[in-house]
Amino acid sequence: MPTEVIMPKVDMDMETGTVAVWHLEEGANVEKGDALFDIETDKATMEVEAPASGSLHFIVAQKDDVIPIGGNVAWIFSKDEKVVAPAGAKSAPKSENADSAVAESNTNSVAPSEQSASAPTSAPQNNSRIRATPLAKRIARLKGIDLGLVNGSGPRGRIVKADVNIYLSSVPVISEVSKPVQSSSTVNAKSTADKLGISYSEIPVDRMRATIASRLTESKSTVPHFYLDIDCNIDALLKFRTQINVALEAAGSKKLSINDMLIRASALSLAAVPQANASWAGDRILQYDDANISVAVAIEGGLITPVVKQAQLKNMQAISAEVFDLAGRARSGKLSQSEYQGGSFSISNLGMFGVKSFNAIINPPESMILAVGKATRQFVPDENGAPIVATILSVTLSCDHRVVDGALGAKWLQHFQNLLENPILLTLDPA
Amino acid sequence: MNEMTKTNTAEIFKDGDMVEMSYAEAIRDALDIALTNDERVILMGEDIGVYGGAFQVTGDLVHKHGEDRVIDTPISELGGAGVAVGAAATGLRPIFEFQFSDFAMLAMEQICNQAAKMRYMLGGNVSVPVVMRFPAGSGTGAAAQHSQSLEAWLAHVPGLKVIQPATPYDAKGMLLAALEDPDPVMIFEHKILYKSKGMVPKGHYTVPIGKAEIRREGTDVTIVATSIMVHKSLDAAKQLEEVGISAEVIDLKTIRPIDRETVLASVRKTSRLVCVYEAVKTLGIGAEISAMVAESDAFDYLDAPILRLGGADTPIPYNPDLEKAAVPQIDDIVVGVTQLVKGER
Repeated sequence: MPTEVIMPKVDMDMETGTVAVWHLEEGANVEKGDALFDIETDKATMEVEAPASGSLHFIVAQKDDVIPIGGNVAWIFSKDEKVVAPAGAKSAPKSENADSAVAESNTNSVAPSEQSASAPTSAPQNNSRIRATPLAKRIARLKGIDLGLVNGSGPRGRIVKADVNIYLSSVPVISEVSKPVQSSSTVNAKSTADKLGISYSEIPVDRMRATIASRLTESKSTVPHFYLDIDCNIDALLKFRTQINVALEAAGSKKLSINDMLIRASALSLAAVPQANASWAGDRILQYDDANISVAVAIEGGLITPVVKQAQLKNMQAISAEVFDLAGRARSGKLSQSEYQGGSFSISNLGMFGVKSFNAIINPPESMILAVGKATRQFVPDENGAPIVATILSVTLSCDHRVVDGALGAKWLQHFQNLLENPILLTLDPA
Repeated sequence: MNEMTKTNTAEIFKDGDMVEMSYAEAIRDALDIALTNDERVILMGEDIGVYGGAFQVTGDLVHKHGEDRVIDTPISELGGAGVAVGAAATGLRPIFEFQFSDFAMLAMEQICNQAAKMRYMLGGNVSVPVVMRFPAGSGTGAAAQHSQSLEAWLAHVPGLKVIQPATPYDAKGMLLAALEDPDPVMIFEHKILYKSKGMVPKGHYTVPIGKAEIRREGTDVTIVATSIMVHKSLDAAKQLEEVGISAEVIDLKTIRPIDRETVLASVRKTSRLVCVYEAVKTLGIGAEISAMVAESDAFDYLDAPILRLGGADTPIPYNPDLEKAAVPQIDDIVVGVTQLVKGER
């Protein structure tokens, strides 16, 4: 029996993987552990190693093919093994495709009423090589679900009924209420443009765009957001930073950015107001021990949020070095899954683009995100009412009201503002 | 096993009409009633007279009904079975006991070529209402030639009915039903069950052939079991319940004809199927049940692969530990079902 090479599950919510590049060719000799191919998941590129030694044959997944978890990618034959097409190689995918096409048309003709108008277009195109139980397939057929979107929990990614139900419960609103609205709005954009003769080019949606779309739609439509604005006078902070950077520069070290200091201030504020460092978990709230701070980094084609873990235990220099490393690797697509998951709070900074302030969408399951705008020089009254010029940074905190009430969010912001306005406090350890 | 006496059919009897007896006693009671009620009934078999039968099933019936009706036959299964088949074809209601079901092979010509086919080949002008009893199964240390479960051999032959009662209640009721059947009925009785006890109605009653019974209702998995495996499956189901797995246990009772609807309805409900039988797993009743489900609409309700737990592909060993290891035990059922329900298979 040749060893199957399957699409591995390398990411918690990974449903499919895209073959990015093959490192070996059909017929090549491989040693167990050799890099076979790279896969592209929602957010990262990973190398897949050979599960056995031998020769590589029947590569059924070519570059850019999207393969469900557990789907066959190729086979490795041991040295003394005769190379014959295993089930699932070559001819099999074709016939299975034909089968699913037949099944689909049967469904359409037998029970047209069970298929909503939009269902057939999204119907199981990719189901040909998905492992699913007959019951899971049946439910998917009746509900018009693309099994390619369902995560299989069984052996080798097999989808069972429970997986379909989890999928259904995770998108109840989308599938039954907003999906028609959504799809009609996308249909409208296109049909309106077509009707009016507006010219456009169509841009295919990649995994990252699809993930951003679904996560943020879910967040904005299910998490009750509210927003708190506060202005921080950062003259002292800027002066403090200059002092530190002079020293750092003299020592040949990397200079601190304002953002590094904002991360430090956020971490200390989360440590001081731990109730805000929490997640809504349906029937309970999870209050985290560590301030794991997600830092939004714009990258080609989207954005990603690498996480500075246990930021409350790290000084500004350590944070600075870590963010520099994470952001650099984020831009080159080299982050591992554990590096962009597990955040408890996010910071998004658009100040460098001249944005004064904005409201950010919470990054679930986190409960707060801090939107940082551009620092501006403004006249403010001094204690005698005379105008003085101050550097004001506007920040906006988005809160999940299920976890963070207005007063709690305000308390956190107050703490944060106090740290920025008295920056020497940033050097203290959390109480 | 007492709790199993409260079966669907048992509920029609009042407590005062029931009496506790062993499986062997229940069969003897049925034989006694049949001999008393119907003068066409005769018992035949090796050592069933004054010796009372190898497993003491016929007991003292010879003293009550006489040697003309409780007949010791010579040590020739082919000869004895031939006489029984001929007697049935010509108007009697013989009940033939094999000393061990293993010896059925000696009488295959009479069972499979004569009894099973006579009605068909003679255009329906003759029927063969013979009943044959086969003490079967392992667990007695009787080694490879006296411990087999050969019911699937006979169930492969059209024209025969093959039943495997699992309780004293069914042993009596199905034997009496077999006597009323116009065609040959083969009864496989597990030797280990002979001493098991249960509540049995007094007097005459029948339990239908071809009807399975849900011994325990459940929602997570359907266990289709036969004979002694019904009891092992029920014990396993109790353990499974403790870990939150709800197993439905079907006592198949008849393996030819199979009660399709009871099995399919259960699989549609639970979405998982496990077949448990003592006979060699390969080409056994579990294969038939599995295929039946896979060929039916219930296929679309399966949420896990089908699992068969049957005997190992080996003659039954003499060594007691190996003898146990060769057939499914309660732990095997618990482990198999757990893996299936947890999605590890």
